[in-house]
Amino acid sequence: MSAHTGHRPVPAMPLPRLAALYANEAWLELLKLLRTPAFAAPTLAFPLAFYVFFGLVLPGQWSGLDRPTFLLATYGVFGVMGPALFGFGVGLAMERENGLLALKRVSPMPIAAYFTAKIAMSLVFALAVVLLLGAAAVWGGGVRIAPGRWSLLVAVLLVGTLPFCAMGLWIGALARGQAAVAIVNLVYLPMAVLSGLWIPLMLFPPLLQALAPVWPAWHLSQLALGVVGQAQSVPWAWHLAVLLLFTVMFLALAAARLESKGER
Amino acid sequence: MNRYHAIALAAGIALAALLVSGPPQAAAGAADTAGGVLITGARIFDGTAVVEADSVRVQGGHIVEIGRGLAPRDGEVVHEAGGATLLPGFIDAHTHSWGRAMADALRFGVTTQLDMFTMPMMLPEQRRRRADLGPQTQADLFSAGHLATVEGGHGTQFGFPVPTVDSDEAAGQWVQARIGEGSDFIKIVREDLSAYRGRPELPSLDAPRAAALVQAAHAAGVKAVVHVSTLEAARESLQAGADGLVHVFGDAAVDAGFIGQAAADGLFVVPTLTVVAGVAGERTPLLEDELLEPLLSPPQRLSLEQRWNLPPRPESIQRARDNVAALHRGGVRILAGTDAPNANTAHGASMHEELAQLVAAGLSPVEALSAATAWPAEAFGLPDRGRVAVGARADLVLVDGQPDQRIGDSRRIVAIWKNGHPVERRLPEAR
Repeated sequence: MSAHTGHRPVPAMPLPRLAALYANEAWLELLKLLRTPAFAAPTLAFPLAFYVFFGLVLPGQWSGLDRPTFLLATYGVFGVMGPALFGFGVGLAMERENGLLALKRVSPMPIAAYFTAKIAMSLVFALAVVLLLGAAAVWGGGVRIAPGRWSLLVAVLLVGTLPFCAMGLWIGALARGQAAVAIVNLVYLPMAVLSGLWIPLMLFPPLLQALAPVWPAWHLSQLALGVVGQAQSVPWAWHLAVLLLFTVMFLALAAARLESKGER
Repeated sequence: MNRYHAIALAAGIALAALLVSGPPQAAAGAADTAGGVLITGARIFDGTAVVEADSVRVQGGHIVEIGRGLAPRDGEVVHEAGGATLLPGFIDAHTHSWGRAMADALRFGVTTQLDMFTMPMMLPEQRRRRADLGPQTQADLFSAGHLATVEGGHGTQFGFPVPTVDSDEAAGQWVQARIGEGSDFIKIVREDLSAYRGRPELPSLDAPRAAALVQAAHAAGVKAVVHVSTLEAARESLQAGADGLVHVFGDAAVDAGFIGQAAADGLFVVPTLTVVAGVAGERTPLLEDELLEPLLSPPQRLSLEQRWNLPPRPESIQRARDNVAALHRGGVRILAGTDAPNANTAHGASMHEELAQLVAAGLSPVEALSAATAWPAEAFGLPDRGRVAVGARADLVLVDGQPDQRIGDSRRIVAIWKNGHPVERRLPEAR
């Protein structure tokens, strides 16, 4: 805790007001995102459009795998990555540049509310994407998954947004403004492809298949595929540990960066 | 470096260690089949007929439930078949298998090969593998091991030593030696090339010694099958009590006396029309088959391209087909076998040609499919194979079409399961 930043001690806020403040911040974050078509439209529409095209419209079957179910899991991962990376990465970078973050920091609002709102909105958009994909899978692809597995899939994908929130936070801490858009796109799209989210990895050259574990998205996709029964003997604990360590690493990198800029 | 850098570095190092060490190795087998598979929306050919059911549940490598509209259970892989036809994995009742043969076979839906002569040193490993219910990249193998022949006879020309049967009295000892090596049944060769050259040109086991081998095999509790190319050798094998013939003869038309006795004795015949057609000068269409050709490995292409260096004898393949038709009409069990990888054939792929050959010879599509599934399992005493039935091994093939109506649909494979595990239908990387 650095003393020279000149924080005035803020009187403790009563809990109901604090809760209202968190809720308000989250609501405003949602409004902001909904009023940013450049964010809302692609994050919701792209995964759905890709899934419908590659998973449902294009003909062809893969031996022993159910294509609509397989791609539901992988496009689900693709879909939840978007809001997390763009919401955090681009959102934070923009708000650092235009001074909104500084403004919020001098307001009485605890800065945690700012990050909580961003996490909450990543989850809301992630849930929306998963529900859209799920509807397309059931109605368009005849996908049948046991009810318990549906809940587990949604849970895995929502919890799975956290490493990407952390990654986005780090990118937003590194870059300012529009530069973050470029960086996020440079990470997001190649990672999606190289993790086998668009086209299964088994169709890739062996080298790219062997390199897949370096991408957090691959680990999340393995968990999701395991849940829907399209990957067998998934080492759950290993994937979870890897995702947890990615999260910790990105959070620590972001914190170090923000601290060095005096913005933590 | 502040504490955040330290945390990031520690997490990064731990991450690198986790990624480099890879996932912990799961206990083989058990965990793999834990979830099970549910195949829904399928037409089901159970080995002898299309049955009133549309779902098959697989657990632990075996079929555990068959019914209509079965509901998925937690953790099950659901495969919606969309009206495709589910069949038992094919059993090729005549192969010569080593190296990549079993992998090449599995890619085309052949989940079990019955080998009629290979190197016995591979048999213990094959016995262990076929007992394993885990994921497999190869078909299971049952084998005769060494074939029974005489010094300089058919089977001795391949450049490795073959123990020959040099006296009638040696038959018992010879059979015991094969069983010691891991042979599942005994293959006896009666071949002097007279069917192809008009006169005997090769030393061969004679009828009494072949009969002694059949007796020795039965005394040891294993089946005895005979390679014949003439009606006379077939008749002598029948009289000796052989269990089956592993080629059909094309030198003469089969007579009612033979058919009657063969049907009464339960003799089975593996005609191997695909290779008999090749010997008679016909050329396989598989290299032009748009469904099968893309999945052929280089060795498969090579054996399909190879020709028999014999003058064309269209009348002999016609007689062979007529004989198959007559035997079948007379109630003799016909089994599908390819004799791969002899010239004009390839492991796995040729099973689909043999099915078509059997239909051309007069079997119905349903009978041809039975000849490649339930019938060979019954003839060779493999109770858990060749059927879609509760308790059977989950070796399954899903084809887009109705092969029980149009036999050519057997080639339209959309999925294969071996021991309940999906099989990747992909050519191995070129090496």
